[in-house]
Amino acid sequence: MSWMKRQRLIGYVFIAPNLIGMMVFMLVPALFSFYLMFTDWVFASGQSPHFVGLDNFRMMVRDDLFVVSVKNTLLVLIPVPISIMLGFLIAVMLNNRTYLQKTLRAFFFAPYFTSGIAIAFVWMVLFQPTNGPINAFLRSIGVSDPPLWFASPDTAMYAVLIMMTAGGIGYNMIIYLAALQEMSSEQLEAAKMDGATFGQLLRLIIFPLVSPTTFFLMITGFIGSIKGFGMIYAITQGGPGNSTTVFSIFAYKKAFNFYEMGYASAVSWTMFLIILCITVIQWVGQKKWVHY
Amino acid sequence: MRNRRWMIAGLALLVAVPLALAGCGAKGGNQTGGTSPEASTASSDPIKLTLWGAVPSENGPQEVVDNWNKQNPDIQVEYVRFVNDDAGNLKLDTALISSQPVDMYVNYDFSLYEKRIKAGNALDLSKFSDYNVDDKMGEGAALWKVDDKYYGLPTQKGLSFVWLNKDMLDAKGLPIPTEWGLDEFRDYAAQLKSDKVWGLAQSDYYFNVPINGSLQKQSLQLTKADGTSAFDNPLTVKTLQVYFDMMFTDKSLMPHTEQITSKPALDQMFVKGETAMLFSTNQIFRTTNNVQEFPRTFKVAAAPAPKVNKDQSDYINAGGLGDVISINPSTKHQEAAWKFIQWYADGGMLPMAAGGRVPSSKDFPVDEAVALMFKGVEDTYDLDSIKRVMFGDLPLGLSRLDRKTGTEQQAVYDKAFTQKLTPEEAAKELARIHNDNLKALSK
Repeated sequence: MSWMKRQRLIGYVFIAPNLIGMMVFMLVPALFSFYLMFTDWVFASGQSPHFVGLDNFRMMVRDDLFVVSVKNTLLVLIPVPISIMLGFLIAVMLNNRTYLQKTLRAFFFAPYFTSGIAIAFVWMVLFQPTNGPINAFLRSIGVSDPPLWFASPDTAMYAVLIMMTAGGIGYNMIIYLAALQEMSSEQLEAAKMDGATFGQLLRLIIFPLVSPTTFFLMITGFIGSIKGFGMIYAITQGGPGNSTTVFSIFAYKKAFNFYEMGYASAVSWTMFLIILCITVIQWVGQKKWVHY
Repeated sequence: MRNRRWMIAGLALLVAVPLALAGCGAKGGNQTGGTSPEASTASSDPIKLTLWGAVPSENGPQEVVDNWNKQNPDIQVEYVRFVNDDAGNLKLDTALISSQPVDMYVNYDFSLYEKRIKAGNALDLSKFSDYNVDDKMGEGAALWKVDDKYYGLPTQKGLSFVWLNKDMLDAKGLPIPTEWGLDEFRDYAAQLKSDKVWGLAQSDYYFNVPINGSLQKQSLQLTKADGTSAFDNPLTVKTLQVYFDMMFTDKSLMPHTEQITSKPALDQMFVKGETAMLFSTNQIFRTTNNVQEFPRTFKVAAAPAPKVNKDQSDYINAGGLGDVISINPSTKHQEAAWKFIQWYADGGMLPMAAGGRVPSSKDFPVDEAVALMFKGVEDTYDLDSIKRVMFGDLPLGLSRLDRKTGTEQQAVYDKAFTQKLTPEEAAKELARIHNDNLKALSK
């Protein structure tokens, strides 16, 4: 065996554990679900799958709950740019020498290394309508009938959006901090000498310089939000009255509550196509605003 | 045919492998992956059986299998617990189709039981002629027949009833109800509530108990004579209106959506005196009997589940026979499993009584079960009312409402109790969902 071949083989051996894991747990189930979306297979029914063509997709567009889940999934995209913007501003502030700088960095980043489910339950307590601290505060400032948050179909989605916005800030901040510390100070110094204000520095110098980071956070943020499942499911299970049912919860319920694997696969692949479209649009659009 | 089998097995494996590797597995193993006759026990190794059930092992099942294992060294049983929720049932169903070690399992829900039968995962018990199920378990057992056959043995009376804080009732001069409707139920809750005490707490989505109980006599599928949904009727509307008034007019019941998002531990609310009444099942015994961990100073009494109207003659009490034990047809030891199940039903399940399980077999030593149920805590119960409810002769029912309808109807209750739908609109919506699923099932 030549040296080159041996090197290649060693390379494959090194990536094998991860590659095998990915194939068993991701690639094979994904291909399997691709096949299933054209069938009517019901898990644990003793029946083999029957080919039904595009019936699952026809059923999907007629399904009111699917339409609700599409709307809700689009809504959960809103926290992504907001948390990126807030993460950026906090990172800029904490990049300068401030009082308790390191403590504040840890404070903002804490939600990222804490279990998502634990955070969800903290939010559940914060938003508790009767005894929760948020409503207690609102009552103390004169709001006589504060929102019911997760307990009302009218406000549950807003509570989810607030939770997701707050949850994203810490991670975005830490990534921006890394970008800011890599940034050359020469351009900033030059702009300052030319009389640029802080706002102009932010808008015209800093933000364009960290635009590749912003692009990365937008791509991963949108994908993460569309796939988002755990925290919402832990608190509301998609309720009350389906008001927080997003794509992933809709697909999960179809698959694992009702065992409708064919239909659930069709929903999952639709979710994949939407993520793909949004990502492609972002890739195309980035040429206009991302500066490398 | 052969290809089809391979395809089913392959599909099952593809779904099962990640789940199994993710920690769904259990120890041991006895399955062959296909139906096989009783294996020879020529070797001296004992037969090993695995029983899957949802009761925590420390609440009786472990003692049951320990007792059996001592008496039957040739047949050793291991208990595996699954949680009786969607994820837990998925785990059991995955284990059943992927030939993981499940020799026997307990069904708690008719819809899932029927699904497992149709999937070929429950053995037809008519092959065993040494046990007359109807004779032993009474007429309530027949509700578990599918195509006129038993695929599992119902072993306990599973009732829903109202737990009462008798001291609070006494303080208000209220007698323990022996028969009541929702109007009286509401009145009790309103009188018993105070600043820090709810008049009533109830398990999530228990509104369907009086609603379904009013429909079961005409059809276990809760349909009308023409086969369409029976949900849209004045009794449904009244039930929704009464519960709505309890939540928002009387404020004697925690608002429903607040309960499902706050997820309070209802059993602990009851023993701590934070609610005067609790509408739930006999599973609350696990908490009320555990006076070391949950000390209480009041006496517990019981009242039957309320009808919609007190004078309603066609009401079927919520609950019937339950804990239906099935045998996995692919076990190598069907005879041994059947032997265990008979022993369990006729006496072996005695340790489960402490957790409130009332055996349904007529051969069961009921006095022993009652003695064990209240051992050491007799003085903390109003035994007359408890016995009247748990061992009385209320008509038993078993809803055969399909699981999907039941789950989808939860969103209607959410909307009804957040004023998104009026009771009349909600009743119509319950019927619409039911009709849609009836149509889908008939295809």
